[in-house]
Amino acid sequence: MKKISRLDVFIAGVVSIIVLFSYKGLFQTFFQQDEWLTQGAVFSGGIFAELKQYSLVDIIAGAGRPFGSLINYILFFLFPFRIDIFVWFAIIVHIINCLILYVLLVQITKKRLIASIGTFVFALNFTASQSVSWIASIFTTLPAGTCVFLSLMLFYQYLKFGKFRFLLGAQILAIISYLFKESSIFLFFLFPVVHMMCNTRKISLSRLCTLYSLSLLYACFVVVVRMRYVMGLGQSAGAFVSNSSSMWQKMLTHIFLYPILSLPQIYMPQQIMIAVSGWFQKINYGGLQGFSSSQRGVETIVSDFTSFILAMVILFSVYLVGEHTKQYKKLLYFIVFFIFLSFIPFAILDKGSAYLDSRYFYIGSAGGSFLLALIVDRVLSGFQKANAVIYRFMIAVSVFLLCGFLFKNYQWISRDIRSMVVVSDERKYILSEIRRFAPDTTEKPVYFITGNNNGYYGIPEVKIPFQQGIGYTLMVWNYSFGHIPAALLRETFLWRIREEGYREINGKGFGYFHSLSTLQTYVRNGHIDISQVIAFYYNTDTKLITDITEETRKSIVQQ
Amino acid sequence: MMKRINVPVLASLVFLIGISCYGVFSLYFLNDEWLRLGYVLNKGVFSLVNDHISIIEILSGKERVLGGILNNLFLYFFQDNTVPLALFDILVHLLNSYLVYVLILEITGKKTVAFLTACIFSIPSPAHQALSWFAATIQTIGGMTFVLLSVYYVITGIKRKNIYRSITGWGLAYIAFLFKESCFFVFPLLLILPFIFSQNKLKVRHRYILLFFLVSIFSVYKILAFFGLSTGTSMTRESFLIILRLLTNMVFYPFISLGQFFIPFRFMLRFSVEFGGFYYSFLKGATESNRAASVVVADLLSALASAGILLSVLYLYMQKKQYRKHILIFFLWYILSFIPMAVFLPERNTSYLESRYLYFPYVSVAFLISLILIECKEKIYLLIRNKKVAFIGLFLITVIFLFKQITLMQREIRVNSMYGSDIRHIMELIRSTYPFLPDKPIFFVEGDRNYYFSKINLPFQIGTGYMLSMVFRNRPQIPKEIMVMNYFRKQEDFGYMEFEDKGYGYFGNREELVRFFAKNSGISTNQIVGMYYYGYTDTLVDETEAIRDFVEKERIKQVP
Repeated sequence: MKKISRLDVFIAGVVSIIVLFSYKGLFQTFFQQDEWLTQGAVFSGGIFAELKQYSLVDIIAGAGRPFGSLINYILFFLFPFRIDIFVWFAIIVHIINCLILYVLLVQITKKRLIASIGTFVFALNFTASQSVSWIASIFTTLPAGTCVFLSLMLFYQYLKFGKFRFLLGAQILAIISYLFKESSIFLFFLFPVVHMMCNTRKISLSRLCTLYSLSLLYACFVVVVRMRYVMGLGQSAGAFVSNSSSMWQKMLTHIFLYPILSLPQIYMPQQIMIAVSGWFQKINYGGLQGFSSSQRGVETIVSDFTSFILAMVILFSVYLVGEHTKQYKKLLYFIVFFIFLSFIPFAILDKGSAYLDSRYFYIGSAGGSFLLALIVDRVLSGFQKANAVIYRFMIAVSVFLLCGFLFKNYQWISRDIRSMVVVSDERKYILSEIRRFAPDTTEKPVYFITGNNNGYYGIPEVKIPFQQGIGYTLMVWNYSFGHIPAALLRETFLWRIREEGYREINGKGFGYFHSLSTLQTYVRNGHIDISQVIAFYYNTDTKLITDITEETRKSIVQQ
Repeated sequence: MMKRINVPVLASLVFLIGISCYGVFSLYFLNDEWLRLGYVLNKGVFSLVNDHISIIEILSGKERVLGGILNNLFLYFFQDNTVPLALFDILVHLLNSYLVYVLILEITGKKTVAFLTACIFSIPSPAHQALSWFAATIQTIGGMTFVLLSVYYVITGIKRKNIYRSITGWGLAYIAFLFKESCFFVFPLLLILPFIFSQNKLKVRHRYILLFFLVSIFSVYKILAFFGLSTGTSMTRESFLIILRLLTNMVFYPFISLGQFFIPFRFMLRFSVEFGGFYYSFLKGATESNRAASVVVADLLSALASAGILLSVLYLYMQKKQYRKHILIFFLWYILSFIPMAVFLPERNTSYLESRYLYFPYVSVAFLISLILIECKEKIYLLIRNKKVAFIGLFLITVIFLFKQITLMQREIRVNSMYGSDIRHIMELIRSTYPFLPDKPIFFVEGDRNYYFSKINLPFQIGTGYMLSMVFRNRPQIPKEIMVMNYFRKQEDFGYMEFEDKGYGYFGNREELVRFFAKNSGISTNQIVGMYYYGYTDTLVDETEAIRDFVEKERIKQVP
């Protein structure tokens, strides 16, 4: 854009306000899960805690997501437990991304209508909202998105003007984006392919290799250095295909299926998809023996099937629109290609439900928003040629539908954040009460926490609503007291959700138990002195936590 | 029609049908055929036209009057002698295949396309039931003959501006409809043809508007009548669901089935379970619900295949301008031919529709395959620039494809033939073991092997009680009511019935048998005909005396 008009400023303002308004509830949330791990690592190892694990070559090849990790750890180091700072970061970067996308769309289409629709849909996309609402992902996904959009912008400038410096900039930004998050790796493939597609003159392979030598060499370097990590061979988490005996077959299947199945999911939140699938199941599979509508597995498969059919409908619509608007045909196909490619890096993951994790949709949702905006514009322009009355009517219908769609997305985001706030409040209350009851804990505190809940998240041992090891959480929370051995945090002692135990290092110790009998065994064996024990009881119904230290100590002694 | 028969084409079709379908001569009645046979033998050739059906209903397609009567003729005169039916199978399918050749030649004017389509259609492995299941043969294959003739006559009528040919075509369509209700799809198809073939579209629109409304009103009437819905009935949630299901099926069935034409049922059955466990880790292990879920997985895989094929068709449509019209006709043929299935078959048992239903759409699939094959040939030519090599390429691809179809067809017929020969054998064995029956016989069957369901000890696909009445259908002791009313037709049916001076009973469980005799002291144990079938060694033991003694002793214990 050569000149920023008042309209652009107005749109930027509206987008900023909408994003701020939609995600304002995040200020009342708290750490969910992985944030505790990061905070613990920062406490124990400083801002380089993550990167220290890798060699320089590995880091250059993207191990530990160096840029994302640095920002993440610096902010956690400077502002421990300051959720407001992190939320501001998330909201500001998301707004910046929306604005970059707006500029990019204006540059490509020369139409502010398309750019505005695309930007608004992207800004309020619920399916990808975890990218903004989950602190653990904001330092990687969002800045990576910024770099991807900037890189695309430069790449577009290169295609338009043919100046190599733009292409070089695009490639550098692609590499930076990759260093924020590995999923940006698809750009290395996207650029040369699009170059070939857009160039009317035939380009030789050697010329193409020369032009893209930076990104290609870097990609080769990454493959050589990080093959083990890219394939997840070094990962023990269950979500990686590498944990399966048929890794390659799974990856190939995912490469084919994930992009197709995820395409309609950009526009449709999981709960709506499940409802639609429920109907679909009732209509098509109601009569099949052995079907249970409540079965989660069936729900997932039917959702996948519904997603596939919707994807076919979307692709056919793209084809129809493309055939009728030659001018935008290539652009439409490019967007679909971009969306598909953005999901391919996640082929190394096994998804647990019909949807990939929400944050993985962030880049794809930008393409999805652009696609929707372009289709709406093309459909409207088709009616413009036909009849003035119908055209106006169609504009009204489109405005109504788009506003409805945006409003529903806003509602879903707000509802999701509200539910997070409820859980966060509960967690904050529990932690503050624990600190209130035991303000300056003993030298070697040993926590025993029980309650009347059958077990949060279906795990009987979890009596308070924390998604990660309660022992680790308490260590991080009480780290400022100075009694917690840093080595325990480094070794992620008590991080696993069912983990309990006690350890001492250099005269400092910490323990957590959810089982009284195990605690008794430790006391009987002389590992723990009874005076170290601090016990709490959490009543799920009244949401009250009570100090039961004395009773617990007595019952341990009596037995 | 063509003035001369194309002998090489006919000879090729004879060869292909002969090699793929010769097994039909080994087929035997499996299930529904027995129910029909029992009915026809006692009620006569015109037995389908019962007293409660009006002439209007018959003319509106109820009871498939023409197909039904022709079917009855075979059953009445040849009973369970299946050779005449097999001959009908082969000959009429040959006729249909040749008609496909004639029709495609008339539409496209391309002999290669017509020949390839006819060859592919002549081996209908995805629709094998149309030939391998005698309960469906006459109506399906017979109906198809008239469908093909009707389309041919209407097209030639439009092309030659001959109204009599068009009228004949519509008449033939009506005959097809009276053969099998599924042929109804031909009416909307015939309505569309003039819009595609006629030069003066506007004139056509005026002329057909009345016909269009008639066909539409008749369609709505048929659908509503089928579901028992009338203007008097209020819209319930259930009826809303039915209509929703019907509308969904109209789109869903053709879409899902397109891929299934290319993926054999038995392969998909295994593959979907494997893929389910592979892609969805929670599906590992074989619980009943997982098997059910694998149906959805099979649908998903079929949908993927369908999408690929649709893409190919779209590509052909875009690339081959000379075939656009023809692709459109057969695409419509394909979609429309599923509409009756969407109505008559609201729910499926497996991911696949019953294969006999796929006989009608298989014409269009065969046409599309032949176009794809031709396209392959052209691509080879573009690559090599040698006509001979391109032709050899086409020939090889076609031969490989046809060979696969032939083996699949043979396998499907062989499976049904094995089931049939089991039935034929056990019926003969029972007849020879029991040359004499007591009055008012009560059959009791035990065995060491279960067939299809638990406690079904004889290899019958429908109720053992009914099938035993068919085994002895010519004996005077068997009451004809059993056959007319199809009593004991379900596998779980058992009991005893008396009709004037005759009686008939069947039991498959000793406790039930004893309980029955304990309750009915007036019934003699001499009526019992006991048998034990060792399924694994194929030995039938007459245990009549042992069962009679057993029942005699046990009934005394149970009498209060």
